[in-house]
Amino acid sequence: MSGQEKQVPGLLGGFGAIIRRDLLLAWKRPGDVLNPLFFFAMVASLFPLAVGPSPEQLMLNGPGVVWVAALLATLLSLNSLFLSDFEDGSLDQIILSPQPLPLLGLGKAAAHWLLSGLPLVLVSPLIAMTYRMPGDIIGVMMLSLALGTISLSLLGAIGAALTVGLNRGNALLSLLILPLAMPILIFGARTVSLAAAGDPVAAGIYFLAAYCMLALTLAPFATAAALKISNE
Amino acid sequence: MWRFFHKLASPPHFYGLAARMIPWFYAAGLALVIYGTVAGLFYAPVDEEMNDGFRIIYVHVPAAYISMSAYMVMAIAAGIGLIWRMKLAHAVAAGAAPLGAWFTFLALLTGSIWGRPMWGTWWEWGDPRLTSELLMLFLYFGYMALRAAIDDTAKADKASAVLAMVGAVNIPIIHFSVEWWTSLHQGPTILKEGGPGIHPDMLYPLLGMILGFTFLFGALLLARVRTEVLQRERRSRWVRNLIMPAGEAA
Amino acid sequence: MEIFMMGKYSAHVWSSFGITAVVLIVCVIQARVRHQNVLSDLKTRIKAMESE
Repeated sequence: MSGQEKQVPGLLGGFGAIIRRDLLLAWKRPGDVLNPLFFFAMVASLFPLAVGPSPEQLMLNGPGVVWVAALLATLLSLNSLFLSDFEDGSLDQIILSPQPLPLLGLGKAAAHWLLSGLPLVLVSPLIAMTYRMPGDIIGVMMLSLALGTISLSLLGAIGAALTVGLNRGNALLSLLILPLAMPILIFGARTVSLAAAGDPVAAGIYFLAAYCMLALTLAPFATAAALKISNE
Repeated sequence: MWRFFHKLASPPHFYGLAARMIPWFYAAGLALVIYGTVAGLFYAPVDEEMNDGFRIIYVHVPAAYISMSAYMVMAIAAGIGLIWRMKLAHAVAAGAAPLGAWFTFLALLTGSIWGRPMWGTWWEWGDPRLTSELLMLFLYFGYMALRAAIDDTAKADKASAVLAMVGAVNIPIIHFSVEWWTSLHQGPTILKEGGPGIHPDMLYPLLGMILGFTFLFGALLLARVRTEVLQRERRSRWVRNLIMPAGEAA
Repeated sequence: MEIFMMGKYSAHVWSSFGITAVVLIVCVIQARVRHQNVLSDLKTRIKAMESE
């Protein structure tokens, strides 16, 4: 025996470790990050193809389309949140590790946002421009998307934890998350539309931020409970 | 007093007690609903705006009220089952879900029928109360879908309990939505400051209907939970004795 | 007869009440039928087990 004991990482260490791990795994499989982004762009392009490219319609529908596309792309990427961990057995390790499970759940959600929500926010201006969204509105749009996708990652983690390992998990996950995501969608898209009309957006942003805070404080505990239940 | 609750939590005791309660609940519910319907349809005075059309309130409001109460029953029962591990509580949650979904559907349907002449539209996507009630219907569906997707009953109980509790956040939003946001929907008429703002002859049938629906929901819930309990406890001795009393030839 | 006409809203009022009544009756019947089904199903199973 060497006599040197390995230190168990503390709270911050555990949190950082789980994020680093997911980022590293995503680095090795860029498709996981890129596919939802391509999906986002493609969904956004479906509307003008179907409805017609008249500029007035584009400008009218722009905020809503960007938001719906972002929501769908996020649902797509949520499917695999715990899937690979479940398949190779590391999910059990995560559940058994000494750090509090809610903290690790928060870490998974944070990593998910960094890999899906944040790229969406960064790519959204490109989509917005094709919808002829004026430049000053794009800032509001990005802020609302950022707050919204954070909430989605947090709430989505609960759904992903509840459905991990189930047969038709994907469709079920969407069914579970969508009711919770609807208020985010409503306020997010409305806020951007209000901005386009020149109306004040503070109320909408505050709502999104409040929802985000609520999710931030409560969702990790629900995720942890769901993980333990799903993995018995 | 605690012994009463302790006994209540025992499935065979509940099974027998519920059987005795159900007929009374049906009777009370039916009586109140008949009173409310007759009084509301034929004896309540006419509304200024909508003449006789407002009478839809006598089914719409009770249905909406039960739809939300049912969700609370489901979420609280699920929480009790999850935290205190009471099997019976999980059975209650499972039984409440389809009933709640039906009442939500009724609330949305009657509301839509009422909305057509009153607001000129079958549906209004921008309205917060309509949207959050629809959302609640989706929450019910999600709950039932999750239950159906998990084969192991105990696991299904716990997973759906987490879901029910997360969704419970929606309920205050529905109730307060008409106060927080401008809406086509009118504000609260009964539970508001200064007492009910509605004529007594219109109010009493409405209260009767709400109470009647509550009793009916109670009866239906007890009936469904009885069936759930029977199914879940099928391997136990008390169920065997119930179905095939000792001494009966096979 | 006029009292049944509900002003000009008879279609709305009666369809609402009607659908509500139908749904409630269906719920009651369904609860009963399910219970009987479970009872008879269990009876068959226990009989099968006891005769083994």
